[in-house]
Amino acid sequence: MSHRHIKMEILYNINNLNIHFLNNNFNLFSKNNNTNKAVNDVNLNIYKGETLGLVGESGSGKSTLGKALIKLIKPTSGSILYKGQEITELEKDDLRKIRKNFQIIFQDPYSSLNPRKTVSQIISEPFIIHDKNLSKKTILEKTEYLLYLVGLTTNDMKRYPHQFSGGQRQRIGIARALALEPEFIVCDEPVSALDVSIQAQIINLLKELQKKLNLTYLFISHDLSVVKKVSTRIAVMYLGKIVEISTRNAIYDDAKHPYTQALLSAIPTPNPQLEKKRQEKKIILEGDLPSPFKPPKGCNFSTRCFLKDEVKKNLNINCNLTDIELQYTNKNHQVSCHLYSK
Amino acid sequence: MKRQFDKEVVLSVKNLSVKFFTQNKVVNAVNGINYNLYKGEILGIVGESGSGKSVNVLSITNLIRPPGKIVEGKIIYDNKDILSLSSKELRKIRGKEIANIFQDPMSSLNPVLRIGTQIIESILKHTNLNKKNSIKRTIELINNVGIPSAKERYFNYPHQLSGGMRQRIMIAIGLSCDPKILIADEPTTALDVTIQAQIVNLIQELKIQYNMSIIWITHDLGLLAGIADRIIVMYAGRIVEEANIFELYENPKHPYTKALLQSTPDLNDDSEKKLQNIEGYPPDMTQEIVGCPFYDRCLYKENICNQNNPDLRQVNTAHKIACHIDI
Repeated sequence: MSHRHIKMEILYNINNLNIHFLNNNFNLFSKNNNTNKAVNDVNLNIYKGETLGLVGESGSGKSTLGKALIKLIKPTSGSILYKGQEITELEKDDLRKIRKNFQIIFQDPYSSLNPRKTVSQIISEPFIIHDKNLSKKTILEKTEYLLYLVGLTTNDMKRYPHQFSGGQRQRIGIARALALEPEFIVCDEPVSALDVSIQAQIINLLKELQKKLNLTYLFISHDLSVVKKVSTRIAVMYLGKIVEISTRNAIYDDAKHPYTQALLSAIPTPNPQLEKKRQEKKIILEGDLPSPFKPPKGCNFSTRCFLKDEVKKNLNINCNLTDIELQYTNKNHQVSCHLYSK
Repeated sequence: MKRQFDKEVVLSVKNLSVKFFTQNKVVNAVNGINYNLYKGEILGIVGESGSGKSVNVLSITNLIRPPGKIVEGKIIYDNKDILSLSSKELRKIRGKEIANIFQDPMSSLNPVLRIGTQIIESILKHTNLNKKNSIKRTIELINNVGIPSAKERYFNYPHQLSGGMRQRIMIAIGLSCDPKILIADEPTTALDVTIQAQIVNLIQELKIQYNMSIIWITHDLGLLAGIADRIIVMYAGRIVEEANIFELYENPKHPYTKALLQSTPDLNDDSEKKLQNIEGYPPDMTQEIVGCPFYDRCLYKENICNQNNPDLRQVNTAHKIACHIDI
């Protein structure tokens, strides 16, 4: 697994990416800084053909990062190279041309489809926008093929979104995303709103399509057991920063960052015997995710970390004062924790 | 396993059916279900959306609102049928004997009332404590559900708290009158995993402290593995399997439960094999279903299955299924 990445082609090269949001309700009486650092100095590569799982809790900045990669959000600073081309400053025609290559599948299949359009209108819209020369017949053929790819039938073409269940709607969303034959798809919690039995259908479909169409995914999810099923590599985000990134197996078998460890420990497994054993040594984090308007000093995670006393004792470092950046522990594994700093 | 039979039944649901009468359709949300809740246990009810699990437990305290109607059945609690009580008698049970915690702590708290006011309400209503002691008890409760600086929190409004803290407040309201039964309807679904772990831990501790029986509703079989004593699996408004926890996970006997377990992603599963999915979608609940409701999606179906709806039958002391086939 490890040497494979080196040979792999880099699709995205992200450097020092910052995305900050300003709080509009400026409060005259508050001395707080009103900038939300949703994405804070992120460096990341995405390789062609892989699925990079991006996990974290709500508010960790994972969706913001995903949207920036496909130019739905303009970054505050930093660079995003797509196949070597800087895309942060692209506009108008140049942007439209490159946009064909990346797509997104949203979490909520109810609000992401236009209720007044039929399935065939929804799926064929990208053709009408991006390829004005296509004949009606070709568009119809392409739409039919897309429906077939995602497991729907041509009978569904004239129907409206409300006539479908959540799982079927998600299939429509996937068909729409595939219309322009993209290389890269951001899957933003694509199965979180679905029931377990339907969730498995969609996960399997996404994996099949990846193989068939040679797609690269950024798979955003808060559910580590789903991410395990789909990912090649996994990045863990906390308060706008990537705190750990490595190959899938290394994350699950050898998680280094205390936050990753806590996340893994918090996921229940469908096995009562094992679960009773796990509960004895379950790591239960205290408190909540700090406000992104007031991130803690030092290490972001220090307010909830259960190892900070150990760091203080053994390394004489105050986690809540001293900052820490991502560092390599081996060539595939990066973690930002004082315990592993050299 | 034998333990269960020695246990006292605290709540008994008998032949419950609930229908929703919408303008042009009738939705058969719950279709003749029977089960018991035993003293001191956590009973997990699991099912997908639309399986009738929430409607089932809302019926327990007669909280079904029009167009919904309980068309048949009894809820026996303390030798009385809850469904035949007057609204005055019912009010004495709701919140005092049987308490509810709902999924979405944002919408179940009143945004314009202080936290303390919302907790103290049921204490003043249901107990003989005077105002001063009620306030003391409220602060104790806030403290008890793991919220620091309880005295200040008493005067906070819901929007000043995080999602996890709001759910803790809901739990405090639920516990305010020492209920015998706590009904938790997806209490952690809206929360992040690390917060979910906190809340699960809290409810487990409080269960012992308050000596309650708990009905825990969820769609997450993984979550129940660590907390429930017994599990009921619902599908299309029916109970399809009921078993002790170890039996259910290690030896599921209903094709639906089996498939559901195989389609649940497991953190400890290192295999590269595909998740098994359940083909198709749940049946339309507005139609009269002849035969087994799982028929269309079942891998083991035989001829009899689309003619007769199987009754829940005992397969061994700790296990019941509604299936014609022994798989």
